Amino acid sequence: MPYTIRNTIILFGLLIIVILGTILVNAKSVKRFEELEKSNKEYSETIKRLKSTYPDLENEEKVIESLENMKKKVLESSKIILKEDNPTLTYQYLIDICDNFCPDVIFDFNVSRSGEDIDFSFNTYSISGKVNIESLHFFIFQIEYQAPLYIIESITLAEESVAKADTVNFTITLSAYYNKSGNYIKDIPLKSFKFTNLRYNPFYSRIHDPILDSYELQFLSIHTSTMIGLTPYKVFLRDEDGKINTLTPGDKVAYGYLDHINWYKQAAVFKINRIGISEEEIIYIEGETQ
Amino acid sequence: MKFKKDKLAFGIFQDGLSIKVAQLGVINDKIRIIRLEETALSHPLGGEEISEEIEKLEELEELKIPEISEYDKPEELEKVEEAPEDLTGKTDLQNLLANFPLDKGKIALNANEEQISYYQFEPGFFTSGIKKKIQTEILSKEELKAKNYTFDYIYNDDKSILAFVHRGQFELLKALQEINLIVSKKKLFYSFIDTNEISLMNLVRANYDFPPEDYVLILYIGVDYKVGIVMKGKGHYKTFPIIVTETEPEKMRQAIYSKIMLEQDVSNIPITQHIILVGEQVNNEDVESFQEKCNEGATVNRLELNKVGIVKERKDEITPEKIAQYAIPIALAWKTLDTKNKAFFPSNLLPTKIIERQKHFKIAWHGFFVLGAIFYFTFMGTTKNMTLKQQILNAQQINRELELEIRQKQNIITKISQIRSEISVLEDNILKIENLIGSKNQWHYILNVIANAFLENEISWINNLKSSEDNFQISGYTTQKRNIIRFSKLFLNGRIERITKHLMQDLTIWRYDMTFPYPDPKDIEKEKEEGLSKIQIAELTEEPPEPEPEPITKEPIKPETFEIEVSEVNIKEIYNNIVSIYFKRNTQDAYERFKEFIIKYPDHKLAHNANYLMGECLYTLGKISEAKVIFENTIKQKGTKTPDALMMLGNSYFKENDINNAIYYWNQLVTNYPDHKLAIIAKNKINTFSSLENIYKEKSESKPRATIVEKEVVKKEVYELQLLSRRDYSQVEQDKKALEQFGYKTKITSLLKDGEIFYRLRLDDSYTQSKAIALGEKIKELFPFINNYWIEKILYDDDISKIYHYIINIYFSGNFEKALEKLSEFSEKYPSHPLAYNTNYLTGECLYQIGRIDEAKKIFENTIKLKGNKTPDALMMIGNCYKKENDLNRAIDYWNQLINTFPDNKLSKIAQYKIKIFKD
Repeated sequence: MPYTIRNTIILFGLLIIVILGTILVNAKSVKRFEELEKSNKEYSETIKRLKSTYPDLENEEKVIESLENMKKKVLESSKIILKEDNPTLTYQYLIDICDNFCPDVIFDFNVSRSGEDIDFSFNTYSISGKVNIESLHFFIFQIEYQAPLYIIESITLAEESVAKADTVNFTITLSAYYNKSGNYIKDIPLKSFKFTNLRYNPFYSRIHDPILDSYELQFLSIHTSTMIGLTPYKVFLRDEDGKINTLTPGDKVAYGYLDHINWYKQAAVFKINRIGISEEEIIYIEGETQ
Repeated sequence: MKFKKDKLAFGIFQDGLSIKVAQLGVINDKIRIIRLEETALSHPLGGEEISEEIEKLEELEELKIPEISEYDKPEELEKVEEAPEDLTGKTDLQNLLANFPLDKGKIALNANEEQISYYQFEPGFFTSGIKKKIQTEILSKEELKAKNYTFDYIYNDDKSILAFVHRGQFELLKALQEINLIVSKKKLFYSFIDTNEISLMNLVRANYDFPPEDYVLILYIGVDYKVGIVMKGKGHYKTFPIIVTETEPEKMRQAIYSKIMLEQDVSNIPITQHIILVGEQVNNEDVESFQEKCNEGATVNRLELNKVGIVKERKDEITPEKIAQYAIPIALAWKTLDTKNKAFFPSNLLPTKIIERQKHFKIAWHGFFVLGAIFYFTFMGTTKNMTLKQQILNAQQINRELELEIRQKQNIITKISQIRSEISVLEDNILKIENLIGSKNQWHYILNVIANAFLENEISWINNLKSSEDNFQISGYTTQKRNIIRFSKLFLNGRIERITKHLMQDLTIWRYDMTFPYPDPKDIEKEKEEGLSKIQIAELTEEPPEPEPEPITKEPIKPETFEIEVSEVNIKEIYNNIVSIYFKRNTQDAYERFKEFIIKYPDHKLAHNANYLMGECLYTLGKISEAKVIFENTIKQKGTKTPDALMMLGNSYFKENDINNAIYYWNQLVTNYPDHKLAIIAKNKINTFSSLENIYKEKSESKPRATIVEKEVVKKEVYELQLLSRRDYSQVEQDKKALEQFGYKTKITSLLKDGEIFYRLRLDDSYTQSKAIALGEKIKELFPFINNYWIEKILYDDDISKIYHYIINIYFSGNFEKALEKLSEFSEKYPSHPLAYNTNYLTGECLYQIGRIDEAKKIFENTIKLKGNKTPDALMMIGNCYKKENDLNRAIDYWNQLINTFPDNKLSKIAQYKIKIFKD
């Protein structure tokens, strides 16, 4: 057989192999491509399905952010149940509050009772003392607004010489609730809040026994003085030591000031506050006080 | 020693029955003779001899041979049986070649000179298509057709051509092919076949360098083959055969020389200039003999190969004589090895068929076609495959992206689910915790509320607060009994437990005990959301600051805050809260808060507004002098509230009966802010009070007189339409609803006629006189319950105000009868004017003053029904009416109604006082 024919046959065989190889390889590639196309279609449908099932997915970041915020808000705005409690932990917590926010609150601490509820166990404590109402108010605020679940079961506040010492006696019954799913109190940081003070001390006795105030006592006492003279603009008073004092309206005296001079009635009108409320005291030229 | 195929060559030379083989190789980059061997064939290799032998054999077979056993086979017969193989001489050749590694090199052969014909062509004989022309020139048609030939040609230096044809088979080649498989398993490679002449010329061209014009005679004296080749320079000049019959050397030399001389004479050229002797029968004596015979100057030498070396092992064996003997096979092998040497003629008589067969690969047109197809399919397949691969890559990329997206989405879903689940758990916990806390943990709020309440109600305090499971109790003191009622309303469902009178420091005070249920946390939360909370909580930093305790003073605690950071929004919120308090008529509280606001944020833009509103608070509280100071400051600041302050300053002076100054400030407002909405009101006020006689006459010189620069407006006459006239108010309300269903919007107005109060419905729009009448007729027709209608000319506000204030003046002058008459006229004329409501009430007062109590009561009752700003006055007056009729219980009822409904109204205090006085 001529070499050329033989070679042609060989080449033809090669051609067949090439064609078969090409078909085979391409068929494989086509199959692979089709598989990928199918897979892509399935994935696309899955995504479409996911999007239709979860429309929020389009705004995933916003949703997650809002959910996270919600979670944060929920956590922030709520009380956190404690994992455990005992008098040591509670006392530690209370003095932490005092040290951080209201250092002048000093209290006696008593363990009242312990018990169990359906979901929680609890320990009840009684704390009592004498303190400025504003500090107490801030202390109560902290117990109520800090995250650990402490509940003020009852409060007793009693005024005791507020006018003198500006303090109230207090007794607070406090319960700490805890269960196993809770958090350790050491893991709950103390938060700081913007706080508005009490605008007024309602325990302040507006009428009270006269207070002996060393500051006031350095001024002229109208009760121990005698008015010895009067002009439309000046008052002349002699004190218990015989010293003559000249006063004009507005001048300070013990517990008050000279308000005005009633020339027609020949009287000096003083505004005096010794018992909590301002009273008008009139001294006539004869020394009569009304 | 191993050689590459290109580095080993074999030259095989046949001269009759003599076969010479030369093995050359390239060793250390130099061509060296490795081996030279020869053999004498017992028989020729050619076909004629074989056929003759075969014929002899056939003759032998025809002889009658007696029966003999194989053991008795005679020697003669054995010879005959073996004869066919021996007859060709191939065995000898085979034996010789068996010593050479032919398959490891290339083989070159010489052509049988007897089968060669030479043709000389002059220069320029052929110009183009040389090969074909030579072919047709030297071969007959039969030969061409039979194709039993090979031919080639060479160019001489003078461009003449020496062509040579080999006719018939190459016996040596055929023999080699036949014994190929015997001597080697591999197929032998044939490089070329050259004629002896070409081979000899190749040797001379490669070895010697004669002048181009010199003639060189190559004298080959072989066993059978003897020839003289004349070269001119490097080219072939002529060839002459030497036929010598003599065998005796001297005689043979003489004969050869004679032949040379003859040729020289014939050709007339000095062919003996250079003589090179080659061949088996060339020895030293021959060289000397020819040297002697030739002319002086002629050089006679035996062939020497300076450019070809000899392997060390054979140096002794391969002598110059031997090289001369083997000149032609050496030339063949040398040309095979040194293919690039241009000294060798590029001739080759090896049949093309064999050359082609030996090529590694050769294809025909169909092969090319298939090859093209292969390339096409390969290209197409590869392209297609590459495209597919690219598509796959893209698809994979998309696939990966989609997978990633799905994973991300799933992660997000998982995350969302986790967070939701966490939130759900948290919410669950929160719910549990909320249930646990319930209404407890509100003490901070409770204390705040109590503190705020006691701030507003001075000379009251608490001395005890205690709590129980369901409620808490406060006990305290106050100098104002009424405060106790307010305290009891601090929290929802508060209950007064006990009130007792005490003396403290000679002052009468009231001790109270009251209980409250715990406030609902949701209500508190709601209150916070509405921004009315008194507790403002906002987380600031992670680390708590160290709060410094405030010093405790004997004076009531001033509201001080630990506000570390207050944003713009918060300031606005605080401001809005105070404004809200102000509009809820908690004027005192609002005043305090505005004051606090200004102290806290003196540089804030809202401080200006707050300052002005503080003035309004003072004005409302009756502290006119203080209010005036604030309004004057506001005017000086020239801010947004300046027009309001001008108006209010005017009002303040008016309240102090300083009408001249009042008009002066209102006029300032009108002049400086003519487009301001208050300017219209100010104008009205100026007009009204300017018309009153001699009011500001005395002071007109001290303050600039009020002058209103105003263009006269052409006032078009318009009318309003009034329907019905009934005494039953509720019936009128029903009629109003019925009309509204048909798109007629109306307002109820009242008028006093003959001591009776009548109610009318006034349509909202205004009309021309004719239109008003037409509409009235139409409505009367449509609605049977409309028995009548009236049209009234609408007067402008400033005109009506003037009339109204004129009547007021009459009233305050004590002329009640006249005032009553004018009021009645006013009420009848302008029943729908806003001031008609006031005139109605004033009518009641006039009637009361002149003792027409029953009529007055009716009017006051009507005023109460209309729920306007005169309701508290009407309640007071109706109480007064009953008191006058000695019906104290009913009087107290109305006064109590006044106290409960309008506790902040100044009349409530009077009512309280009256109740107290008359009860005692």
